[in-house]
Amino acid sequence: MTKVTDEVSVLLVEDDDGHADLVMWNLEKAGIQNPLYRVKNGQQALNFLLKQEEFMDAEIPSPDNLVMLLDINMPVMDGYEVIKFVRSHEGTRLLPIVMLTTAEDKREVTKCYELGCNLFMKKPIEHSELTSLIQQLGAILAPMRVPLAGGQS
Amino acid sequence: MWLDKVNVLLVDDHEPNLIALEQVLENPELNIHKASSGQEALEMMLTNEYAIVLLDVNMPEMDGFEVAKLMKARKETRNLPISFVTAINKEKKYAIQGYEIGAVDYLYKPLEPEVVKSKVSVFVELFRLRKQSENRLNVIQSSMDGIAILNEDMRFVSVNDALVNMLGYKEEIDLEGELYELIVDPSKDIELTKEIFKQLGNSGRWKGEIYCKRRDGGAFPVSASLNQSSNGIICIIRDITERKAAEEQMRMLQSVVENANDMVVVTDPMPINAPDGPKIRYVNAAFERVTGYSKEEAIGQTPRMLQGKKTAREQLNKIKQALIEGKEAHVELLNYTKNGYEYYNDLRIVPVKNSRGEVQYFTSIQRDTTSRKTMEQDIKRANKELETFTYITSHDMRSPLVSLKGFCGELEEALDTLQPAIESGLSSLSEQDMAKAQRARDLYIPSALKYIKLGTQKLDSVTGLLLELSRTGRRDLSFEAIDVNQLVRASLDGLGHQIKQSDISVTVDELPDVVADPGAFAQIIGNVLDNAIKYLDPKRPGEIRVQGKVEQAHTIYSVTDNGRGIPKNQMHKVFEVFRRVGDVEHIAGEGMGIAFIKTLLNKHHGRIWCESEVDVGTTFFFSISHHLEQQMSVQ
Repeated sequence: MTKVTDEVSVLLVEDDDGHADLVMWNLEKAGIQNPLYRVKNGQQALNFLLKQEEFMDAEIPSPDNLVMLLDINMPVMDGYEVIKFVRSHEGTRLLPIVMLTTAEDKREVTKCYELGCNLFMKKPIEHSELTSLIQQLGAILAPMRVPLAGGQS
Repeated sequence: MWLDKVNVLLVDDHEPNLIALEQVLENPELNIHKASSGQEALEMMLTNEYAIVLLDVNMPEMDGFEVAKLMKARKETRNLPISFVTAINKEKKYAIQGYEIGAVDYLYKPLEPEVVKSKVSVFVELFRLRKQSENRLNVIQSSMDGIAILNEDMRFVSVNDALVNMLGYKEEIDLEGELYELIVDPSKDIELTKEIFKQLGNSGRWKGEIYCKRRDGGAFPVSASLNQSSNGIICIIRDITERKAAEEQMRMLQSVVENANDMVVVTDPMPINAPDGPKIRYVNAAFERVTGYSKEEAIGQTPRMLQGKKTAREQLNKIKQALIEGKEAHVELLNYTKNGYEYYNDLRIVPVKNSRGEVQYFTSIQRDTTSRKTMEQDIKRANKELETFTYITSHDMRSPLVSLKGFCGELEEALDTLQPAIESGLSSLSEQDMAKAQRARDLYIPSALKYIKLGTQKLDSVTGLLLELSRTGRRDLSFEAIDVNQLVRASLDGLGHQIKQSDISVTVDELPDVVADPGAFAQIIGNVLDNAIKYLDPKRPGEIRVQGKVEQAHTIYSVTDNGRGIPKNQMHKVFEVFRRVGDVEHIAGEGMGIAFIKTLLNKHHGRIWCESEVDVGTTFFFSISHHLEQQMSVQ
């Protein structure tokens, strides 16, 4: 069984239910058992991270214990806006972001990295890819959050 | 009145006689020449003009009569008046002899000074009158205008050279005696002729334009002035053929300018820097039509009345600069009609200079390009919309495609997962149902999945290409000098595997370098080479040749193959999006390549075309404009 860390939860930001199901199923198949939360657009993601609006009273993990899987094209607020906000906001600045995209558009990829995403994945995502993703994330997370990686030590 | 001195010749062999006579005649109005022999006198008469010769009769060697005879024999001296001076021959006989020879008078010695003086002065006066009338005749003769006098019978009595020439005769004598009809041709206009004579009868004069008849029958236009005088009708005729032709030409040009579809405006050359600028001198009908200002409203105003708040200052300055330098200018302005409507004005302004190089007017040809401009803008907008549309649709199509792809995989995996359950479940079925279920498991489901996947893949690659095409259209190219030989080599290296595998021989000539977008050029040449390889004929060894040449405005590259060729009736399809030519089911590609190339070449002010023969091969040519170089050097 692979785990990011025991403490880490996954926040999936995806408007398309089909895409969301595919990601969730493959996380499951990859054996990732960390808690998973799903929201349907960028605004909801921000609400989640800031524990406001619909998430004001919810029992949810803090941004310090999150990995975000982020779709680009979404209604209300798109993925770019989310990265911009996350990277500019003190409480969420270090949140690992994995972009999910439908097309390998170079400009799209460049833009996401410029805005500060950590990794990039093309949909549909297969569980084998997710496994390697988790390993990469581990590598990213290790130096960033030494105490959080403690679960594996 | 100022008078020339008049020459008088005195001939006498006796010096004292000459001196005496000279003293008698002494007068500031006279030049008195003296000759002491007949021979000398004759020589002097040839070089000088005399009012009278006072000729001594009794001279040795050649006497006065002999001199007179010789004078009469010569054309130059024939009409020179002679007055014999004699002391001896007082007899009538001699006198008669003298008159016969042509003397006009006799003076007898001893001379009475008053008589001599008054006689000579008569001849001097006569000479002067003759000179005067000769001069007047000269004036008439040398006139450029034709001059003639018609007598009562309406025949020419006197004509000048100009008229003789004008009417195509050789000498005055040929024309004299001819009828008036030569200058007032009644066959041309009988009513006018009647009118002319009626007016001549009433007021004694007529002036106007008529047609004269030449000897060869041809007619030509003249301006004529006819005056009744006591000597007859004096006609002064001026040939106006050239003026008429020029007028005709002028009328023609005027009509062209007036009725041209473009606006024509003529302005004064000055003042360029004054607040209102040069004034309008002329506008044509198109100007009235487009601007709404009538000629009367426009003339005297300045072209500034057409300008408004959106008229670009830098364009106006460009005109101003050209005007100051006396040069041409070509600009596009946003102008305003009388009613305040905007219109785009393509304006070319040209200085009209006189022979000294000074600007006399500025003429400008202006064209209302509003509809073209609007159309251009519409096309641009439509293109933009189309690109955006293509981008959005192809982008939006990807989301469901991703679902299809993903869930196909899920289904496949789920089917695998279910296999043991199905296997064990099958045994509980009836034989018939089991067969059906097996068929569903082994054929229907896998086939359905296969076709869904294939369809998805196809859709995926098409939307991918569409996306790329719309991106190509929106991409900004940057032009730089590129090493074409190296680019082509790199491109061929990329295709090396295919080339080796199919054993194709590739020849690359020395290629001219060019200014272009390097990425785009690589895409273009790569695509054309790829095409050449794809469409080779498997029945014979493939040969591909890459060439290039520099032409005046473009550099042209070509790729020639010995492939299967394109049938004539399918040639046009080569360049359409999503088309592939001929029996090419097994050839990979979506038929989008050429569409990309076309878009890219459009941005290089170039194009792509091909020549092909079935079973012989195809040559694809593409051109890249040299204009890009200029754009670059401007930056």
